[in-house]
Amino acid sequence: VATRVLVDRFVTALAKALERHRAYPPESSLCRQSIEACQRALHATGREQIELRPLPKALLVDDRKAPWTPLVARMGRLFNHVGVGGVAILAQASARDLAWFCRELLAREASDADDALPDSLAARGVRNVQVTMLVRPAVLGVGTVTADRLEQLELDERQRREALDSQACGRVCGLDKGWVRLDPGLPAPAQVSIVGLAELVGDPVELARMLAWLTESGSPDDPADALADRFEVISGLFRSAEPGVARTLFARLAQAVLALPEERRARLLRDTVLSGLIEGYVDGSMLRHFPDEELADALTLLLDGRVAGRELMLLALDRIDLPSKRQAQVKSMIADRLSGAARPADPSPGWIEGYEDGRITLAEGTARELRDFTVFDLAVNDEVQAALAFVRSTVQDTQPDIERLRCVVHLLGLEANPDVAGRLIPVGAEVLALLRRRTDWIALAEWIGNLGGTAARVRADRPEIAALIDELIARQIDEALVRDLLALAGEEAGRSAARKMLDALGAPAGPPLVQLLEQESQRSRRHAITKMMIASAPRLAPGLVAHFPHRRWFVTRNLAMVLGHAGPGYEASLAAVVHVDDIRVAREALRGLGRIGSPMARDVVVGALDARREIARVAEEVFWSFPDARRIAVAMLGDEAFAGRRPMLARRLLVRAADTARADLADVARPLSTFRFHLWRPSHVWLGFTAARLAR
Amino acid sequence: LSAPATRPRRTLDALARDQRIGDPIVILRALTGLRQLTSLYPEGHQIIRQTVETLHAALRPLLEAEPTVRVDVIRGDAHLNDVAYRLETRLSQGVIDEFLALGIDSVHFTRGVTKDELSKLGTLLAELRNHPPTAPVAPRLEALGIRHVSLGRLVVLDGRWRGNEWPDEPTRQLDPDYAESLARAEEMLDTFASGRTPSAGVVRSLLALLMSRVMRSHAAVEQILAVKEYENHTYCHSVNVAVLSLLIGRQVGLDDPALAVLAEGALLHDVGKMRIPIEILRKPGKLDLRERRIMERHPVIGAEMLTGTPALHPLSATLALEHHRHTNGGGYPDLGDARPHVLSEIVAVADVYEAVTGARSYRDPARPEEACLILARASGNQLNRTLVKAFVNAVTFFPVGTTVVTSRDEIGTVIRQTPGDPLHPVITLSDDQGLRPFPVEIDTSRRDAAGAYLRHIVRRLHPDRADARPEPVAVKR
Repeated sequence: VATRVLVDRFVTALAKALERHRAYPPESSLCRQSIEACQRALHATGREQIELRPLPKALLVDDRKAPWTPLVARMGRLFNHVGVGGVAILAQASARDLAWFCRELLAREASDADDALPDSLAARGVRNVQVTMLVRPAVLGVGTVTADRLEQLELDERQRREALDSQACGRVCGLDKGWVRLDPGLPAPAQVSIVGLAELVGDPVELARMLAWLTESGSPDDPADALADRFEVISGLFRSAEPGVARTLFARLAQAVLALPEERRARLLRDTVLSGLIEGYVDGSMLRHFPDEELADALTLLLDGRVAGRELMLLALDRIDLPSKRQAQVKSMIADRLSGAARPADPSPGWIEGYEDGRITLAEGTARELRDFTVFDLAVNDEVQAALAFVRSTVQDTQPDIERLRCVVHLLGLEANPDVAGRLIPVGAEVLALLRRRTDWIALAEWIGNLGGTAARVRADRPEIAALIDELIARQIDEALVRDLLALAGEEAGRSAARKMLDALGAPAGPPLVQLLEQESQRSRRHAITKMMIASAPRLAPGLVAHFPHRRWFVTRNLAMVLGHAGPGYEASLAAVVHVDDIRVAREALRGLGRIGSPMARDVVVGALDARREIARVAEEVFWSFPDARRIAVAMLGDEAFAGRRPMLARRLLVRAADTARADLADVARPLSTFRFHLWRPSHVWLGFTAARLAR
Repeated sequence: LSAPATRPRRTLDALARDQRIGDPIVILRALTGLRQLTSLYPEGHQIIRQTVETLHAALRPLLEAEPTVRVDVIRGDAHLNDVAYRLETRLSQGVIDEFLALGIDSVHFTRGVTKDELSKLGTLLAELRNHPPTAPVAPRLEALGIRHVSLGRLVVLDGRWRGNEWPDEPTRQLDPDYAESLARAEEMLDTFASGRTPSAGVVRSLLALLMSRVMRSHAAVEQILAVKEYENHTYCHSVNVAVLSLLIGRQVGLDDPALAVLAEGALLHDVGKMRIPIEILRKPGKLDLRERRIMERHPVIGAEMLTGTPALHPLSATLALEHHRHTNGGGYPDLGDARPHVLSEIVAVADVYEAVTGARSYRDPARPEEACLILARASGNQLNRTLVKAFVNAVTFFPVGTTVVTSRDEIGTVIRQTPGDPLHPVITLSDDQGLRPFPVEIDTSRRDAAGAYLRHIVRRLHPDRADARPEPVAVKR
């Protein structure tokens, strides 16, 4: 009884978690708490597995009805709505498994997702919550069937059943998936086999559609796609039918293929029928029903993009097993087509190699077993020997550890389950540590870069995996590595490697570099660190912002230099130190803003023009580095209040603006020229005279 | 925190959809009711009209949404347009039972059904109740002018399909070393399947067996190159691929340590299949999308299993991961543009040869020469062309003494191989029966000025003759 109560508590907790996910974003604390509560309840049950099965108005939990509370009822209705037949929740289910189950289930309620729930859970790496969907039966109409036909079918079916009962066989579809709909007035057989269905339906396109429904619970939009996708199965089913019936069915199949639009027919013939014929998956029965002209056309499709196409064409022709007279006729038709096409005006890229060198003449010989193989020029000549030598050297040059890391990076890019990915991380870390011990900076930089690229690629769909990779990268960085890199950057030869390495490490390398900068007492060493950081500024900057401004003025100044090289996005950080007391910091911040050169940076610099004198001077120097500085200067000069407040600055702006063009300055200079009468302010007078001169 | 703005609308949509799905019981109840009332009341009676109205009203919204309304009773459950509606009440079950008693378990309505048709359907159902149908019902419906309703009986589809039955392992007498290697491989792969890791010693001793004894046994290599009339997806396949990879590796000129790495990776390349359901591995015919997705996970699963195994060489995991990758960047799993490692390419060639010469439930095994044709076709795009050439040249398909026919219809006997071109041996011409040799030697590897062969061997003669060697053999080195 106690266990039952605990299981019911878990069911309620799961229902509650679903409700929370329905109402709130999955990342919200409410959702997280509900999932944690659910997981605790699951562990408390002590069960290895809990199985839920929804009924229309009940929820069976391990074959016992759960209390039908409003919460549980909503969960049951959700299961029914989505078509969930059963959910097995294993004891090992993590909070992540449960959270993704809730999210994916609700996504289907909202019709946001197209793929099946078990598939999407598998794609998310959820392995401890196993969902089975309700089987949607396929009711297959077979049209009008006569009683005689049905009696004959029953006889054939009996034989087939005996054969199936005694032999190994597979299933095209599961039990209870397919139901054949017959007229109720006809003597109904006990069951219809899949071959029987093929005989009853007759139409290959319709049969293909039914097979699609039976195997994937959906019909492809294009019937030609259905036919192409299931051609091998259809052909196999027809071959299993009674020989007389099979002949008719293959004739219909041929008609169906010939009725397809030309491009689709060519694709089906080339990629499925002829390919399967040569490789032994498909027999030539259908092609025997092609008229000669169409058959010759079909076989010439083998020339497109195939090596030694002509030989394959003859092999295919042999395998179709035509009477010799007809075969000769088709061969001659093929020869005609080839002689017409042998010198194409614009050969397509797929045109076969050696097509024109006439290794084999078509008219020769009869069906020959090995011809198709021996005509390939597979001799080992000098060119092949050279290629083999290259293969040998590639194998010799292989570095096992790098290969191991390559494999880990690929697997991290593919794996959806963070538990599995978590087991791969130590392997990757081990190899990275080895590379570091070997001071193989180039390889280390390349592979950290690859890891970073993988993390970026999977971040949207699999944030947990991206976080694991980020953590692995971050773990590589420590003070010792930073010192090693600094030493490397000090050498001419190692500078590029150090830069690549820092680029690969990215933002996580920021904090240890700041720490190093703070600890370094020598100015020249600090300069070297800053230089190295500037080279990788855009990648490092996100990791520096949190340390800016720093409590040590020189660290702040150096970081301002780095941020100034990082590009747009750091204007606000730099603006925060523009007005500090220490002019050395403010100067670097203003210069940095000038380098960034964005409109936002420009606004900060323009604002600093009006600041205290020493800052304004630097700002003025930086101001002119902006592309639209002159336009802004003219606009500022139009403001007499500004000119009256900062007459010397206004004069300098006026003179500098006049350096490039004077035509548009008359309008702003004329009002300013009245300042020359402000005899009590010499600086105004000076500005006034300059303006008057320019206005003239 | 606030609920997403779209939620309430979605819920309303879902409700609307639920209503459109409807209730098959309402339709079935109306149909059975109609049948009963038609037996009791005269045609056109008010109560019959009302029931027809109810049925028509139930169908109308459904037919607005879909062109057909399909009510099917399958294993006691009513389905409306393929969606199951399980029954709970005894009343509902009664309706179903009464409906089934008519010998009908499927009613389909198409758009355009009229009240008149429904009324006539009631009459027909009443007739069927008294006289179960012995002749097709469709013509009767047609005669009554009921064109938008069809009645049916559902017969279960037996989804089984006969595949070829192949034994699970070789049945013929095997070379003792080869047989021993198979037994050890089975043991090793079973260890993996049980979630444990085989010891380094087990793996090394199996590799030593393969490299030192199996590879040197002519009989073993012949058995591996020949058509394999058994279906084994794991241990036999793994040993065969390992030996074939060694053949290629030897032809390439790899040294022993590299060959050992190659053999280990080849032996374990399909270890991920141990976690693929057997019904998918052995399914006859094409896999559906879902099954294919599961199947295509095996390289990833295998690589994950091997990555964490310290006893193995690091490249084993790479080979397991990449053996289905193509040289042109295709294949699976999707690893972007990365070209597979050359050892993975060797395993890929061996894997394709082994797979096509092996039996599968959905097709017969290909003969070695056909397999080479398939390899040659795939070379360049899918397989490394150089390695295909290396493989083909590691095997001679025309051992000395084989009677062959050339492309010039000459009959001859192979007297020696041409180095670097075992497909074009030197032959002596014979009479028409291939029995009396003429003292004329022909080198079939000779080419014309344009570089084309003057003649090819096109087939073997008398393959059933006792002294003919039916199977290809590895080239002696």
